[in-house]
Amino acid sequence: MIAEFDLSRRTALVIGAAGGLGREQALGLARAGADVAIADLNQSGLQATSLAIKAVGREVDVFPLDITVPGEVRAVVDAVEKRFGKIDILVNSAGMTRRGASEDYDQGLFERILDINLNGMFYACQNVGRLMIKRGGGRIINMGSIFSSAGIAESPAYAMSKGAVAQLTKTLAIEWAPYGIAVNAILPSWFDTAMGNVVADREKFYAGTAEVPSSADLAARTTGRVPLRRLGKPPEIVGATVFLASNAASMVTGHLLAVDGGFLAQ
Amino acid sequence: MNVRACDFDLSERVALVAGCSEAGVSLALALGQSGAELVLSDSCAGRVQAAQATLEAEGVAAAGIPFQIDGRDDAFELVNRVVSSHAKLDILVNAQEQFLDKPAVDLTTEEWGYSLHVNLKVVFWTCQAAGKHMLARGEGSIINLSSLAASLGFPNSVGFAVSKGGVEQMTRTLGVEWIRRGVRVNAIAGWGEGLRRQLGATGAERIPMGRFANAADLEGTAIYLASRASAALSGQIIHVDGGYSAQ
Repeated sequence: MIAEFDLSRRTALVIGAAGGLGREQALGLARAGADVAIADLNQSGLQATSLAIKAVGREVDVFPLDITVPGEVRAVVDAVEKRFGKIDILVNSAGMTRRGASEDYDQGLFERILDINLNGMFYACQNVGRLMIKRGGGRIINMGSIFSSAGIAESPAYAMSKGAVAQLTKTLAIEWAPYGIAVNAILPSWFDTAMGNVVADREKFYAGTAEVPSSADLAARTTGRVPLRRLGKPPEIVGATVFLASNAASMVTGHLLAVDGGFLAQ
Repeated sequence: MNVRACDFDLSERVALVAGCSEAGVSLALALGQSGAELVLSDSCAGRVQAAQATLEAEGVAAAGIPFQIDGRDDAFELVNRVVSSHAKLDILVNAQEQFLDKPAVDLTTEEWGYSLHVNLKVVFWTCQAAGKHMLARGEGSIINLSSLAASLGFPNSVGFAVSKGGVEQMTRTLGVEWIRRGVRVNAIAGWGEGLRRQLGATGAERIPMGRFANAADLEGTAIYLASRASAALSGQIIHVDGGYSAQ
């Protein structure tokens, strides 16, 4: 591995690491040499990720976390600092989405998605940011989406939260640059995960809506619009994550890095 | 479409300006002077009355509804009241906003939550309520008030900036979702009161126009977005910023 990408002696906290892209990111950071604290609401998923990281030979510890509760976020960040001595890298990968016509979108669902995708991410940035300011530096990687900048019908809460994530990233990047903290975001397209494979899991995404679209219709509206014409494979998120966490990206902050098969270039 | 000056005319249109902020009052005046029937609302009755007085001094009459929106149902109630008194709603301007100048590390959970409530959630619920009515009628124009802080980073404004980033994605999402059913959703991004105050006089030096665009500078864009002249426009964010974001 080229030295600039080496993450040996770094500690990463990956929130939302029980599955999907968060799990791949935690594993990827471990393979690049980092010790990893992993947090998620889903504890069985956390254990599975923990075993996979142990197999890589890195230190790992699990932290059950409901990211929507500010006090829990603070307690977990404190606990990670106590256990590992520091946090060099924060990856914010917790998220959820549900489809529904905007004009009828349920208030409870709307608030739930904003709580997880946005409020929780802010609490994590704020608490880890305080530690990083004290230590004089760090890397924060927030998971946005192609819908941080493109519009999509029938996903108002998701698109709003991800647009806000882009602004959270830029605002903190500018505000914390003097402390040596870099804040960047990754904007994935649809990936083959429980959250990103809308075609396979369409019943779940469209739960509560009047009509579930056919697989062909959904595929045309999703991967059919990606220049690479396919879902991302979860390991394909790792390169961007390790890069942004590493010295190779030492001049990169406030950036939104699309890992999207060309979607946003259209 | 051949555009004529008459296509900017808003006569017989009913406009709800939600939020009597500096920009809200300015945009209400512009829509009213272009012929729209106005309804002003705000959670603070005093601000509604002050806005009505300002408009009256310019010869523009406006109905006022002091109204606090705590959730989705409240927004539907507000739109129902407008439709009951004015028979319909053609134009919605979402101008409710709150700017807090504070470092991100010191922002409390309550301050963060309040900023998102006023700047993002209330805007969405009001879009939902107005959108539902407009979709049923097959026409309508919604104008959201965004900010340069929605696309650029400014320090010590995280709750506001994050909310406005969300407002821009809301605008694009609803813009693509509703345009085939006759409802257009666009936004204006300018220098709000808060950013102007925060950046101070020296901030203007980096603006190509040499000064901040103020609330009155947004008026022409609002009339355009509200009118037939912009019939093919939806999901767009128009930057009225003296050229700042073009650099």
